[in-house]
Amino acid sequence: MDILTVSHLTKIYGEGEAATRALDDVSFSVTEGEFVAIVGSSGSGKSTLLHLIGGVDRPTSGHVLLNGADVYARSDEELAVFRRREVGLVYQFYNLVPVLNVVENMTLPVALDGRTVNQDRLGGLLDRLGLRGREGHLPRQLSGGQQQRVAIGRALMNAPAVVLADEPTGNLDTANSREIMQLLRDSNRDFGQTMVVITHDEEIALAADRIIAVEDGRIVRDERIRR
Amino acid sequence: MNAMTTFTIKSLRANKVRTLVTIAGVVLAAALLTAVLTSYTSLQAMLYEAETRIAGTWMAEVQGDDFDGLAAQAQEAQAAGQVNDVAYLRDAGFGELTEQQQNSFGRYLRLADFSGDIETLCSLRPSEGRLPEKAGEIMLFDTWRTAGDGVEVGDTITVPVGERVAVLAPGRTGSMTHGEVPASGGFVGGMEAAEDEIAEGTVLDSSIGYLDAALDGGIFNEELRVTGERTYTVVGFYDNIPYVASHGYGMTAFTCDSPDDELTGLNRAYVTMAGVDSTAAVEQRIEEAFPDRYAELHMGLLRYMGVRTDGAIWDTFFNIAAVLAVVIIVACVSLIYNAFAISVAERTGQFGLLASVGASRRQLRRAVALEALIVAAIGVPLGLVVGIGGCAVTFAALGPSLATIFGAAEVGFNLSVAPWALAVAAGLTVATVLFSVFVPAWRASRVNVIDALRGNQSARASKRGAARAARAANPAKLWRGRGIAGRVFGMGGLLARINEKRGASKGMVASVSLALAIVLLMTAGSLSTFLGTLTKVAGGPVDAGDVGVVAMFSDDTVPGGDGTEGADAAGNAPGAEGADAGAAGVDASAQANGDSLTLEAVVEARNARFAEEAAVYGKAWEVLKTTPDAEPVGWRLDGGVSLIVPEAMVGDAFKADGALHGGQMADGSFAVMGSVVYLEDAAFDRCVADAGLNPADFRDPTEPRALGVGKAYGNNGAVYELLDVLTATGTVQALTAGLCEGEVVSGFAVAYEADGANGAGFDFVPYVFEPDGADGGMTRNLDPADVETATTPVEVVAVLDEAPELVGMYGESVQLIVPMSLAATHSLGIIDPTFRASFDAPEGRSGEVGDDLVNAAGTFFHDEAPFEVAFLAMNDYAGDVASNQTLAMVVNVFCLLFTVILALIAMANVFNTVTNGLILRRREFAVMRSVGLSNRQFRAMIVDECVAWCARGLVPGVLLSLLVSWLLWVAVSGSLSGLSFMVPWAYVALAFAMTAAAVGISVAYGMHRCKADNVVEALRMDSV
Repeated sequence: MDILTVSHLTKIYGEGEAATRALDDVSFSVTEGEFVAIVGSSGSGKSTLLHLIGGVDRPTSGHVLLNGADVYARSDEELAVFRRREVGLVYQFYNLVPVLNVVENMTLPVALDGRTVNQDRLGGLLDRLGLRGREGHLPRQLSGGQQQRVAIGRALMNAPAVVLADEPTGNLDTANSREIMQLLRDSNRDFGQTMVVITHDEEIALAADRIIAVEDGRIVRDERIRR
Repeated sequence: MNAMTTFTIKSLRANKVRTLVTIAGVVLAAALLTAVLTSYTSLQAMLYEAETRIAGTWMAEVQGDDFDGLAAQAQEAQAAGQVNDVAYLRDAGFGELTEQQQNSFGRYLRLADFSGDIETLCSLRPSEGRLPEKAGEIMLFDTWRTAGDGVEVGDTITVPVGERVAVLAPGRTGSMTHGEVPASGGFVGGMEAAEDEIAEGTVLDSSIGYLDAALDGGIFNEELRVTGERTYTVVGFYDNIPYVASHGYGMTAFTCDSPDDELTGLNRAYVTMAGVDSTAAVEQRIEEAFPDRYAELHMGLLRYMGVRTDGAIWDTFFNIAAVLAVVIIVACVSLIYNAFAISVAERTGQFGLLASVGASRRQLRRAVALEALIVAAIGVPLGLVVGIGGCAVTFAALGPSLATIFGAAEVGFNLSVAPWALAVAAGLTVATVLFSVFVPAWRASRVNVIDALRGNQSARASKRGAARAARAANPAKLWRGRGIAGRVFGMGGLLARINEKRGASKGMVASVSLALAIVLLMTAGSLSTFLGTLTKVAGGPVDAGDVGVVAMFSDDTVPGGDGTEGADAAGNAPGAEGADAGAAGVDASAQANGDSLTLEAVVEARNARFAEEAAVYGKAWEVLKTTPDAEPVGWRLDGGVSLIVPEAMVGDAFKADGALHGGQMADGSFAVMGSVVYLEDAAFDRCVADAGLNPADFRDPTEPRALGVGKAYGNNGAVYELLDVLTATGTVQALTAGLCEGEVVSGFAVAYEADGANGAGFDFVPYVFEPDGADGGMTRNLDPADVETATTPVEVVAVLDEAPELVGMYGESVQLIVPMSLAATHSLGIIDPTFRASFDAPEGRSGEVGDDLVNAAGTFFHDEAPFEVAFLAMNDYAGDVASNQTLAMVVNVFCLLFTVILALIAMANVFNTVTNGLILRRREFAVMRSVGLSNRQFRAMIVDECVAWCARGLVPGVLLSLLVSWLLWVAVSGSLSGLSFMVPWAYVALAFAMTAAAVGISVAYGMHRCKADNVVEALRMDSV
């Protein structure tokens, strides 16, 4: 079953002659539990695609359907709620809130939603992410790899419809990169978590079920990897 | 040009807006400082000019008995460069004056022989004619021309001249030294007075004031021993009294080239000098050049010359200027500091980048410092120009009014730019700029390269924040403890609270600028309030009409006696006491009527005298009405009365301690020093009709009836304002006379007696004047128990809320208004009433019309009145009002300018810090929003943070501004006693409102910027 459908998505930055077509009529679908890698060179439009799926930007035209609902039919307020519940975002530079500790950063979307934190899930994630004993640490007291694990924890905390990761290993050394990829892979397998990961690391891409290659705002290749 | 310099200049160019904003801040700071200092130097220059105009340019006066010795020393000192110019004034004897002349010109005609540039040095300028040029010529004070028979230029006068000689007062023995002799009207300089012994027969020189044992408490009187007669040709008059002509024993007449035998007594040298910077230096020069001579310094001048005075008494203005300068400097430091701190903080990434390519910390610091210097190099000169320009424009507009206020209208208030002031303004601004960049530069140089490059703002959390964060890790208690913020602002409030508790900066910058804004606005507010009060009080109550004539007769002359000296007393007012001082005359006439003096006889004599005076004044009014251009408004007589007022009638003012003159007596009623106004019948009838009463009810001479005025001016313990003095109608008793064992009581004072005859409380204390022959006389209190008192009941038929204009508006105690016709039968204890006639005059001519009226009154009283005039003067109300309005306008414009400038600085500062504080965190906001922070939650978070900043800024801000207000109050109250410290609440509210508005606007703008920032863009700001 398709959990995510992208249809005819176009995003144009700027106006007139300066207009840049970051995405040009992109369409594809992702089924539930799928692990998709989006690859492409710098400036190919892959980050734009991710942000549009994540509801942090608005497309020039086209639609994104998540769980059958049109993301951009929502108001800004509804979009905020949508981001809390349906999407988990992981960035290259972690983007943790500097004044919040590990558990607070992880549970921020739940708290913003005004719900009580599921202690079992939080505990499970802390174990899985290897952050036990660091619950009270602030981001600056953690290494890069640890910060990225907190960011992944934040993305997974709500069991969103889809986790979107933008170069999650781009800022990490090889060992940490492998570890992070493994975490994403494991979450995908163990929780059936749908994942869309942007990367230009071929090795990481190969860990995915499917690779979508984007170039100049268009999908140039969409292939499933058979294991 | 090295790489860092190039980088600095390029970055300044690249960030045009920020650079311009910073430069504008520097310009503003430099301009304000320049303006404050230039105002100060200009004022100083004006006061200096005015002082030289009034008193001359002399800096020290050196005295000596031997003229040749003094002159030789002065010449030597001039040759040695110790002094510049010298002028001399030598005692040339004292002219004897007739008793009539003494009223106008003082005890003697002091003769002083001058040489040197007395015009410049001593400001002795003829108002008419010229200075004497050869022996036998004389310049007199202007009253010689105007008073009495009048002397004109070209006339000759012959005066008996002699020496003043000390004579022991009756019953006294011994001698005393000069130091014990009261000052001669000048001031005592830094050096010790010569201790000349004075004994019986000692010849007194001009440095010794008039000796009158009864007045000065000494043992000597003096007399003039006439030695000859001199005749002079009058060549000129002077009308302003410079220091050298002002002495207690009379007006000075100036001569020159007098023969040596006429020049006996003291010689004075007036000197100027260059290159002295303190009073001590002036003293030292004098001591070197004129060893062992007595000298006095021209302190008034030295102060304005910028010569430091030891333990200088600062004027209100200089105090205020000092407080304002400090406030402005703080404001400027904050403005520039913020501009730089923010500009550096915004470029943290850039500095990281530079560091990553090998820039050393020193290089980074220097880059920032260079940037500051470039900004200062552009901003400071511009600021100086703007400051001077602003001053020039302001002075051009307000100068004449300002000069008038400071009593220097002839001099004018001109722009005076002092190089040192510019240097100080420039230096202070540059220092401010350097100080303002030091902290940011230091911070910039310590930027962690990697953090900077990653845009990692982990430094946002403080160490204590980390500890707090660690404690908040218990999963079970996650997001608990929301408190009030959490309840009101929800999740946003909770995030704000966490940020506040764990953040490193805690919005400190914003709080500081908020506090500063409050301080600035309240400073402006306090200044406006205090200066406003100053002008209001200075304005005071104003009488009806444009000009008023005020007169009072003296009781020295028995009715029907010789009254020829009347008119000469014009302008020589001895003060209100004159009336009481002469009470003996009336009462003596009462005694003359019979062998045994009765209370009834005293009352009768007083009533008769009062009726007679009232009749004379009534005629005077008819005469004055015919003065051209004088439009009659009305006339009245008033005087002080001692009243017993029943408790039921008394207002709260008398119940408060010391608010007004009077208080509760042991029997419960109140002893009040009040006043009675006898208003001309027609005007009185109008008042009565206005109050809805029948004028005919007030005409019965056997039952005096009056209108009372409910309010009076007084100090309520805080400010000078209208207080309730009379609240109900009823009958009061006026003390009309008192007799103590055959002695007539001169008057009744009110005093508090802890153990009086009637118990504790206020009571009337009867007193008599001691007929000491002296001018003022002294009083002796009598035991109330021995005094037989006559009272007259006066029924107060109505209490007016508002005093009629013709009554002179509000008084300072209980005021009763009665018709003039009552004057025929009742004095109510008043012996010599004050005559007040009011007239309107054509606009701008009130002064001249006033003079005409006084002259007409003088002539009338001289020719027709059987009494001696104790007091005759003119009040130019219209002129006073005009000058008060000018003062008020200047004060208002000044306050407005100051308030606007400070408000601009304050608001700019708040805006700068708040918006930048938000913009610097936009990446953090983007993160929160990307994980689902809704706009509503975002707003709640920011509003909550702002509330916290405000709360933290307001408390210290208010405390600090109270301190500044208090300092300003101290400065202002120096020139105005009775002004109590008050918090300008209206301005507190305004300051709160403006600050809140500024925060609101800043937040709205900041949030707009953060929101307009695409979340995606904000998140991408990963690198430089």
